[in-house]
Amino acid sequence: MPRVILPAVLASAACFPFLLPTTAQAHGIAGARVFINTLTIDDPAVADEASLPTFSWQPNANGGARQNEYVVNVELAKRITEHFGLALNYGATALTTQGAKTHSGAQNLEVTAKYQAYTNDEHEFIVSLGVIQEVGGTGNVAAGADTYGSTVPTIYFGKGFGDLPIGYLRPLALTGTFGYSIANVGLKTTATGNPDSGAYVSYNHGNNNAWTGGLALQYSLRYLGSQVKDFGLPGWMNRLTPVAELTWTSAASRPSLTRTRYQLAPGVAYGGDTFQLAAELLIPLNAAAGTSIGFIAQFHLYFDDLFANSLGKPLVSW
Amino acid sequence: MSRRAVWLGVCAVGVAVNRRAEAHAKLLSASPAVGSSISVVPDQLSLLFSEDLEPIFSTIHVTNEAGLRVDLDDLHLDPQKSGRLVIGLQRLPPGVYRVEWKVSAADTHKSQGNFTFNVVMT
Repeated sequence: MPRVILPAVLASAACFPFLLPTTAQAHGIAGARVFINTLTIDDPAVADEASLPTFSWQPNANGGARQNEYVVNVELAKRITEHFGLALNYGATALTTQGAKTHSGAQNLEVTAKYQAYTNDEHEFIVSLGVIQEVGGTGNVAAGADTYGSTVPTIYFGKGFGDLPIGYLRPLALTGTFGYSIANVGLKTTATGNPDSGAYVSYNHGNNNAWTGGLALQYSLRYLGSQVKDFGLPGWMNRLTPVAELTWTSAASRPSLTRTRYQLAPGVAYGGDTFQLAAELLIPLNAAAGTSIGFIAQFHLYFDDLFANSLGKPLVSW
Repeated sequence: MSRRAVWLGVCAVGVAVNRRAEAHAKLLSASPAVGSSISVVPDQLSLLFSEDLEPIFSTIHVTNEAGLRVDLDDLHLDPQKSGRLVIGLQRLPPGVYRVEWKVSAADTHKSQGNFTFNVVMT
């Protein structure tokens, strides 16, 4: 079923745009601030957009064997009303291990419902509330997909620093997410023992609860050139936004198989008129997050700019 | 799945590259320039945007340090270029001036911003 959702939605929307009513404004915009679409955390606004695709590569040393994890992901976000939207996120993973069989397959479908609760144009501030549902059983367990999935109530924020008195700091913005992942089926111990050969513990296929969060610090050269000082930079350079994203996950219940992980992702985003191209390094900050530096890249489309009178508008105008 | 994702990606790039943008209007340049210091004051201020604009739903206010408007409230499109807004200026003495703009692109996308420029004595 999930395998047909994205193509079906895209095809339907492309074929019948005239069925969609009108109104609009989207993107992550608050006043003069346009928040970029970040790669390792979700952006704070509801929007009509798609990531087609996001690609990541994460090498790792598992004992002596070298592993490479490749992930291709597709996301489609659609506003239902001006401030409420849904997003579908679906992807596939291939895990290659030196001297062993490659494991590949789909990851679980994720559905996000998000409500943009507060927008302050003067102070370039957005707050949204959302719930992410990972639908268990929609991915390939052999490729690492969870059997049962989880539900993650999440708060999102974005704050532009355009109201700072120091001009060259005004292009800065900070976005972030903070969520609590509730396992759809809790992790339970199913067996323990054998003191002769050392203790062991086995578990069911459930998950522990977890805290998840992230921050993204971004510096918009477009904001610098159009709001602070025009240095006469080439047009393509004015479209760049250097960004650094920090993500973290830690266990929130026992027993737990989740180790606290910290990851830093510095990179740059190029904002076209209707799309964004972005690339970042994936730098593990502790051993649980990995042993080697990886890479992530994304091509992102803004439907409100591409299809202003059809896909780029909320489905209903209230 | 991955082959399908690549196919979708290729299609998406094609759509983005070939389709005419109906995007939010972005400020490309200003005269006087954003954050500039000028000694010769022009009799008008002009802002060039990335999109065609709807002047009826667009505003530009130029104010002095006391917050008083120093523009002539005669905002209009440059007849030579539909993405350029022009507004007349009073004779400006030395000081810092703030420009606040809100524009509506021809497709109703709205955007806004502000900047300052400085008039200095020669």
